[in-house]
Amino acid sequence: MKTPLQWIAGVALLMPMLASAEPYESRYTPLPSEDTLFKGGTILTGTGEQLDETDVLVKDGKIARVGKDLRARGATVIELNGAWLTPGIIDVHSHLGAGGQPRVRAHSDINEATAPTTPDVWVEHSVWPQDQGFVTALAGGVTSLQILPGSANLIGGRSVTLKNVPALSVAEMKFPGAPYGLKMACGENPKRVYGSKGRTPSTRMGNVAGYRAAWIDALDYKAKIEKALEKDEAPPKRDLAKETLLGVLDGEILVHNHCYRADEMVTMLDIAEEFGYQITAFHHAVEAYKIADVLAEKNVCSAVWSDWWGFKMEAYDGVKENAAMLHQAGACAIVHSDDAHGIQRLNQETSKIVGAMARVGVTIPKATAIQWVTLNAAKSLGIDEMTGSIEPGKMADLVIWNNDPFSVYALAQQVYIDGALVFDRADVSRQPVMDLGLGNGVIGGGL
Amino acid sequence: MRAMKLIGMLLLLGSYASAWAQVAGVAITNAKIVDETGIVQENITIIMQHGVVQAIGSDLPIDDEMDVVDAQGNWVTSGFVAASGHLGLVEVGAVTDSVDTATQHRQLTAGFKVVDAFNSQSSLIAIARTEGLTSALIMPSIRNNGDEGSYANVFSGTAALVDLSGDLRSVRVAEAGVVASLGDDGKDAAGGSRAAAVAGLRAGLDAGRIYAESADEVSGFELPEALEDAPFSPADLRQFAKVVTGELPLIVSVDRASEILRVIDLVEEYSIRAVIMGGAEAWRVAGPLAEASIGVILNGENNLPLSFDHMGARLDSAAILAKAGVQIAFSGENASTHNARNMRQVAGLAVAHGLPWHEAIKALTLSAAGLLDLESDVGRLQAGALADLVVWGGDPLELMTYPTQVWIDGQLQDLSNRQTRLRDRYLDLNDPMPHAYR
Repeated sequence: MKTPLQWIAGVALLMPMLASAEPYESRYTPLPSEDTLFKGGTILTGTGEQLDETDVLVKDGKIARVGKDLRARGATVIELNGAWLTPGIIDVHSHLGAGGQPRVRAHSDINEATAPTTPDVWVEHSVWPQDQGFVTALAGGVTSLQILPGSANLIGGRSVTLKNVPALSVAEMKFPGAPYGLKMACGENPKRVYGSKGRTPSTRMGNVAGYRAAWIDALDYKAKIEKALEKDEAPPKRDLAKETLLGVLDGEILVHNHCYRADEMVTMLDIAEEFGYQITAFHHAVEAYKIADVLAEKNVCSAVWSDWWGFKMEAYDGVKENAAMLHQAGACAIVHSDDAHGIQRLNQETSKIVGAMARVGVTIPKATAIQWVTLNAAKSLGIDEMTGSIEPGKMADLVIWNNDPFSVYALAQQVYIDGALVFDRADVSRQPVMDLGLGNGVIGGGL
Repeated sequence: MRAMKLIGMLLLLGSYASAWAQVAGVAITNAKIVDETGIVQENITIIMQHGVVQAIGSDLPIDDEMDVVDAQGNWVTSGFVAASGHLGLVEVGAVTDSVDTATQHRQLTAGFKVVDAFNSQSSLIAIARTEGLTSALIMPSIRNNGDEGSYANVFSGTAALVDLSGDLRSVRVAEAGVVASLGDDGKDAAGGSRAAAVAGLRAGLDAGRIYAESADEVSGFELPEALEDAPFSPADLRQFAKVVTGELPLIVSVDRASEILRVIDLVEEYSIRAVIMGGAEAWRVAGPLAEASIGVILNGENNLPLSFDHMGARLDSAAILAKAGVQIAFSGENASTHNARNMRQVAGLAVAHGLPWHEAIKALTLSAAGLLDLESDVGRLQAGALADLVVWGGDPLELMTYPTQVWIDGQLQDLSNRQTRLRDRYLDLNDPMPHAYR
């Protein structure tokens, strides 16, 4: 007879022990949609191509066909007349809902800044889905986004990837099948937060000792589980923190590492090597351009701003061309926001980078650059099989722009998620307003 | 021809210009320009000499000695003016040693003049200049005294107008306005209520009146008898007096419509000049603002209910205000100080939301300086104005456009900066020698 432990071991050794396999699972269901034929658009596919005068057929919430002169009986036809159509914008770095509007202390749920290592917290348990910021992001074309814990902690907790639809619970926004992420943070923030409390870490070397101690503890926990399995003994008590860390070592949970300086990113790569995990993406990565070759070789994405710099010492060496220089070196570049305003204009942030790089004679096609806020972002979130590009079989997460999306004058005209029209600049009934705004004068419509 | 005569006269007088070209002047030819009413003119020649625009027109005669710059049909504008922020007062935001925007000193409120801390060598200045900004208003920021408020603290100091040449002497207007805060910040500074913050404004203005009337009788650190118990130092009182006599405007950081109305009341009651900064809900009171000739340095990027003061924030605020006849300039969430360069993106955003394009250009030039000083010769594209000029590689508001030439005070500017140097150093990572040799 198999012991319960042997049975579990057969299922998943390192995933949450003795708990339901998928706690807090997604309860997202797409909003009602119609089959739609988008005719005659200028399409940036997200795969690196620009297709002019091309049609896209959406059926059952999925992209069915991409091509010329498509016909589909019963589908609603939208004449694009050359308008730009792109995949939905994806922001890999947001705190919407965890630090909601208005930004009162009562809404401050981003940092569990009571201990430097808190892999046990899940940011989805902070996400208030009524944040008006989700709506303004939607009006900016954002269809999926990763919410991360803040950077006060060395290890800040689990992230969650969401579909950007209005909902009453976070479970109804969770991107089905998206892996979890783990937020880690380098540099000034953890050492400042804890150093000011007179405790470790107060230095960068303290930071590194903290990460290493956490991974050593996780490996110890893993060894105890394995030993218990071997001896047919009761497993150690469940430990939320270590379950998350083991999920990383197992490759199930993706590491999103806030890190500014080039030297610290290299140190973090060494730590990953010491403990046997992959860093999926460095976030902010203000100095990534200095080690673009290393990041390309290690297959680590960099999620960066176009131009934020100088707000703290480790952000002093920011350059606008960061993402473009990463791309030129063959590394994975992503443009992120970390900001409830910036998230509304990630297309523009991308444009600024392309424009800056052109000054040194390097022309990056729009079809390539759009990947920094679509397919590359999807890859780093582990959802690129499902969204991030306009290809048959993928979710119909789409944006119609009223102008070239690389123009300052461009606004998202219509936004579709899983084929459902969720925002329409010309139709007030498709301009969501969260509950806070009712009777409070909050303006909808992306205004 | 009058302009040419003037040029001739200045040629004879020209003594301070270092280069011959500066003495002879510069002619920008084949320029496209827009005026404040939106009229576009092409194939225009602009002549500058001795730091001043001498003439603008078609078919202007060009002196053989002049440097001629062909704008190739591109837009030429007056240099853009950052209408808020702390250029030259901050190097690294979180490094307090490098920040001079506020003081906790109890005896220094309106009398805190940021100009005395201005560092023209700051790396931020060249970075802003590279994108066509040639001047900046530099503002004090509200003091943070923790829980212990005083209504005097609603005044954060005195703003200045500087040019962005990076020259050691680049202050244009040492005192451009007295800055105060209502809203959340004012409330905290004043001791816990918006009403206390308004009381603070009144106290300052009342004291300023008394001081102005008795200024002849007191000097240095002396106070008029009526002000001996006032919570203001002589340095503060001198600034308040300048506000009540109309010499300086009062710049009030405020967002909520009802509080903006309080400012309008004060403007009428004290016959002062005022400018609103922030102005999330200014659009709700656009009519009264226009009537009272109160301009707005608008946070043009916010459409979120960031606080209960911002419930009505919307991206078409600029369009609504301009239509009502309110003079506007821009600030933004991500368009200040280190990223003052993003002011033009914020202006472009306003255009996307209904502001006429020429009004956006006006907000970045003429209005940004003119809100505070109606007579300002900064930000004007006309004969007699300071020769701050930018030739743009495309639409000045577009995201991929950069200036091709920038002049400040008629001097051609270097468009490299710390960031372009960093970029160039790391463009080629295959150099066998370490970066520090590149």
